[in-house]
Amino acid sequence: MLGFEADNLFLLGFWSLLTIVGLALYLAFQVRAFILAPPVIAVLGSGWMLWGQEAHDGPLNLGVFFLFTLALSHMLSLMMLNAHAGGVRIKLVSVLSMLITGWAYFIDAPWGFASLWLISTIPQAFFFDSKNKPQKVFILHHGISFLALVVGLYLLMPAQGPWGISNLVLVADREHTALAVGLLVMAAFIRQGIFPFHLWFKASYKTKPFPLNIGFYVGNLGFFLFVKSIMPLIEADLMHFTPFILSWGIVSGLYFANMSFVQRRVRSSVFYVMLSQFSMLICGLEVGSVTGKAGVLFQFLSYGLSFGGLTACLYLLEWNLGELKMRRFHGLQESNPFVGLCFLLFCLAAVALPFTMGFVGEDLIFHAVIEKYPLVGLGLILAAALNGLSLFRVYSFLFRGTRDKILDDRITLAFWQKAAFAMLLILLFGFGIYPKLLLDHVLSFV
Amino acid sequence: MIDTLFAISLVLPLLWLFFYGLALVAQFRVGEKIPVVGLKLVILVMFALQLLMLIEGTAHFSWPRWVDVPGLYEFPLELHFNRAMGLAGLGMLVLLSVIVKYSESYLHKEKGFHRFFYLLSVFMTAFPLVLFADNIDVLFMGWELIGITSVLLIGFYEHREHATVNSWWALGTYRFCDVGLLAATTLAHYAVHTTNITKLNNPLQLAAEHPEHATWLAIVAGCIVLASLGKAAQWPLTSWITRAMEGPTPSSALYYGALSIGLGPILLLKFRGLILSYPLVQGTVIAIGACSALYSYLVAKVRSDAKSILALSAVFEVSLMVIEVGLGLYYWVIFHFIANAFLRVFQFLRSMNAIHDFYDNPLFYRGAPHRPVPWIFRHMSQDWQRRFYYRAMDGFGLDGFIINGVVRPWIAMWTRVNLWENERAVGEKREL
Repeated sequence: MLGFEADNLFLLGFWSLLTIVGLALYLAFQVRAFILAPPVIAVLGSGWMLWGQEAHDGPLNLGVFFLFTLALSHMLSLMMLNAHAGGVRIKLVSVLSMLITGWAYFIDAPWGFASLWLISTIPQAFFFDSKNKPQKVFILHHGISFLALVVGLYLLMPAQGPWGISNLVLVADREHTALAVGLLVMAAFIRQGIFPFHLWFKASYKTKPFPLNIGFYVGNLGFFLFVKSIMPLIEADLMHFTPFILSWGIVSGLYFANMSFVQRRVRSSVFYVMLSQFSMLICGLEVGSVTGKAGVLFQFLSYGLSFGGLTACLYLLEWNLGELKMRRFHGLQESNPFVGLCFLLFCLAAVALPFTMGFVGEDLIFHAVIEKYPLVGLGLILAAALNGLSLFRVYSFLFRGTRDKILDDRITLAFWQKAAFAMLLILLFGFGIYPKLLLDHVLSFV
Repeated sequence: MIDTLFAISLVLPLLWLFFYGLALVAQFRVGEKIPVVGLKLVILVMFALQLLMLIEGTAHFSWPRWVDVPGLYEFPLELHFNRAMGLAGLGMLVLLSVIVKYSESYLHKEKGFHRFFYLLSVFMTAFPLVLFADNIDVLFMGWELIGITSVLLIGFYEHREHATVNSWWALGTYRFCDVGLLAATTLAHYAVHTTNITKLNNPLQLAAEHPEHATWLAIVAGCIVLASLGKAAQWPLTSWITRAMEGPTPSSALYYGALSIGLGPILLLKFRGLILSYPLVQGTVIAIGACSALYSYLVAKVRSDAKSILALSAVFEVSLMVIEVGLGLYYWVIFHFIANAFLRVFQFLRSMNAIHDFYDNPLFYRGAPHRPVPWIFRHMSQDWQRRFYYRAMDGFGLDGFIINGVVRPWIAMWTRVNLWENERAVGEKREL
């Protein structure tokens, strides 16, 4: 059997059925509500399990938290997209990716997980125009990632008895633990786009149309594997690996922060900042403390929301204006003041503006890292400072300067889109002003 | 009772921010009178409350478990009102009311009218956080918010590309120096398990409690000094201040003439116990102050625009405050901070009338501006005087060094890495 937990299976089955029906209805009638229903159900279901856990009998599956984060980001992104044609392909791919990733969160059987690991990359592969170099890079990276995962799991497979992703640390065969964990780390890092395994991200961002939230749908499965299986193994047997992986995370964060600063394309710059910020999560996990882990999960939701908002804003702009480059100031503030304001607030939230969610998460991570490795941890602070500069540069190029009056660059936002922006801001600032509302629940996972 | 009043004075601007922001985001028709009257009312109430607290002498606000990982980590919101900082707070409110009154007509029918008043409101909320913070985390929150409003106000005239580029200079300097404050926060947590400012100002006791981490306290003090350099535009990070004059004059007056720039010495003042315990750090503070004073004095002498001269004069005064902190003159610094703030705001707001004042206004009439050779160069040969003059014209090459010596090589290096990556990822060795 695939090893789903009974509590989650009901939610998962209902949600999947609804997704498929919703997709079919959406394709037939092109009504936004049909495609919005599945993520809304997932948010409500996982949110109910997350916040109502006092009444819950056993410990919650980490997948519930991941599903909540993913579904919330997905729901808000879908709400923000334009209702009219052209975005159908994006919506289909994102819903399918979301569904497969959601299943992967709850599956416990290692080979089932590995299969979903591979399958979840397939919708993304359809984004590439033809069999050109970017597609080859994408396939090569994910092929290696899949191979590393399979070999790593095979090496850890116990001689007899049941085994699963969640109890790998208890039952795994310890003969080749170091090699197996090394392979799993490699698989997760490729998936997450940690330096130097991030080129597939760059290749993906070359595609048209805009690969909405690709990092979040495809990449976060690597992070999930890291949290769920790799970290417990490292904490149990390979603590001497910790400084190495932590330094790797910091180097990665600094590298991406610097790279984001020299990008010409807006989407590339944003994605490098995203990669840099996500690299910091690895550092928070690696220190192994409760504070670090709580900060990481808190920050994971924060990034999901702020970068979800940022990429959705970018999608809206690029859908109307074509691919945006930072060769001149576009002056979009004049025609799109509301989008400009939201973009700025998402940027600030992503780089930890006080009284936003990001501030609390980043504070927890920094403290956890510096508590253990004071000097190394300063690299994180430097990377965060550079990321702030990069995102402000992006914002300036988009919304400052003189507007090109020949272009019709005014974006008319529908009610749903405004509602999504408002919800994102409420969540980002709400949990930022009163973080305990979320933090207490996050702590139950660590 | 007095603690409750203190809490109200902190929450009131937040509530104002929330409702004003809500009205703007929901695109209600908000007239120009609303922010002006609203801000004046909030300032009036805050002034009355702070006056009461000043009479009382001390007040305390604490939300002990704002962020809390039980048994492992706490981030309390702690603020402490004392008379010295209270005086600075009252000064801020008076100046803010002057700026509001002035901006009401200065920015009348300007496109960014509400943006300006909203940023001013954020400043009003954040400034007390810095003044009254009792731990570095809370101070950092106010510090960051003031930095962001400052950057957004420099780029206020968004159609001007120069204004945007200059706002990057300010942001770059702020972010670089904020690394110091954030590092100080986390290192203090690591070394002595507290970020409480009152406790950190007693380093001998902390060193006795945590002898294994005693040296880290000196590093924390160094980080605080680094953090103060940016906002106070101290040498070698002075050059952004003249670029910051792109913003509207009222915000230049408030930020770079009076309050934001004065936060550097205020930060040092808040940590005076820590800084003065380490002679090396203390000496560094005095040296930086002296260098900045000399630099700003020389550069201000050769500038030709009124706002830059005033900004550099403000830097000069702030440098003196930094020296005073280094010498341990506590109340002197507060007095200097308030006096300088009032004088500079007056001068900045008056600067647009400078030509009229020089020639026609009998209250100000002094004839044509006369610039004697600075006293330190009077005994030099004319050749050397000329050399110094030209060097001062380009800020003694500080901008050139930052652009050509730091920024350009750094960008060139990463651009090469980017091109290499492009070739590997998409098969095109060009900027995409």
